[in-house]
Amino acid sequence: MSGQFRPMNLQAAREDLNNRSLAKIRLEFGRLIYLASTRDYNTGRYYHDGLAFQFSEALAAQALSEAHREVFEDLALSPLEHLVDELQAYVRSVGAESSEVIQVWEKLEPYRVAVPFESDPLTKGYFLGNVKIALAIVESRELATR
Amino acid sequence: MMEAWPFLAIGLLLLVLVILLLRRPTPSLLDSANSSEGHETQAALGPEPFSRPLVDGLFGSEDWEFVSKEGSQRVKRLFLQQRTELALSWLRASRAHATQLLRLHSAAVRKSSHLEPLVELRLIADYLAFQMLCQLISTVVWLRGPVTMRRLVRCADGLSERFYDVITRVLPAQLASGSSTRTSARPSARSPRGG
Repeated sequence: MSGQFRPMNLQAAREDLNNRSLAKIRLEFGRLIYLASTRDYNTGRYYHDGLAFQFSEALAAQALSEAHREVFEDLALSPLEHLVDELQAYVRSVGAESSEVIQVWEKLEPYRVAVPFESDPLTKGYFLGNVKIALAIVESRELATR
Repeated sequence: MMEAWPFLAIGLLLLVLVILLLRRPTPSLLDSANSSEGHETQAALGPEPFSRPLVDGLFGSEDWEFVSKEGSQRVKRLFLQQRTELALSWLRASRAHATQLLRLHSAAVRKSSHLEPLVELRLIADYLAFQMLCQLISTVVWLRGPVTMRRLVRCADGLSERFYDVITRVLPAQLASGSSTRTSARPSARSPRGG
């Protein structure tokens, strides 16, 4: 039953991913972290149960990889002000004390794993540098609101 | 007449540098097409890995204006430090890419029977102008950071594009095929940054 009508189309897999998973995540930063989390840390392969079930593992991985690259590029190349607003909203949405999240992010730099594998070094450096600056700005904003 | 001597000396020095650069041993281009170095050839002829929105953001003033308005002295310092490092590595990579292209071209020209001296001179002039402009930009970036350098960088980008166009036009057909995909310098429609 499950394998009877499996559409073998990347476009359909992308739409499914957008409509079912990504549409529920309001923030671009959240979408980036979500997509990065579907990638195995050791092998770099993307995996998504529902998508693999509906299409195929290979198509699901391709759809996830493409979406990850797109979301990353959009965010990495957006103006710093936009990144700061996104990061601040994301930090507030995590469900922990903002100052705690900022401190951990500054020390452990977990956002490094959000960079797609194929990203060129300059774009990667630009994004990581911008997140560092954005964190410093969000920290000062949070301090000012206390 | 005496005032012209320094310029002549600099010109001569640059010419010697270019000749030395071109005489450096490079593998035969046609041989390398079938070896692992063929990948380097393809990499040199392929599109530059840096997109226009990235370069615009790096050398533009919007982010700096935002940081100046919003950030503390620590944030401003952090911003300038991060962007200066990135700008200098972009300049280094762009210069290296141009040198790689020129080496590729000189290797191809050695095997060619149809040498066009005027085209070669123009190529060398473009290469030198590009390298000098990059050096100038590097110095300014090093001294005062990369913000508000967009116009000068676009000028360098224009020179590099012209250089690339001439090189791909005069390269042997089998090498130039598939190399006309230098699209990354075009502004992206999605980019929220203006010119």
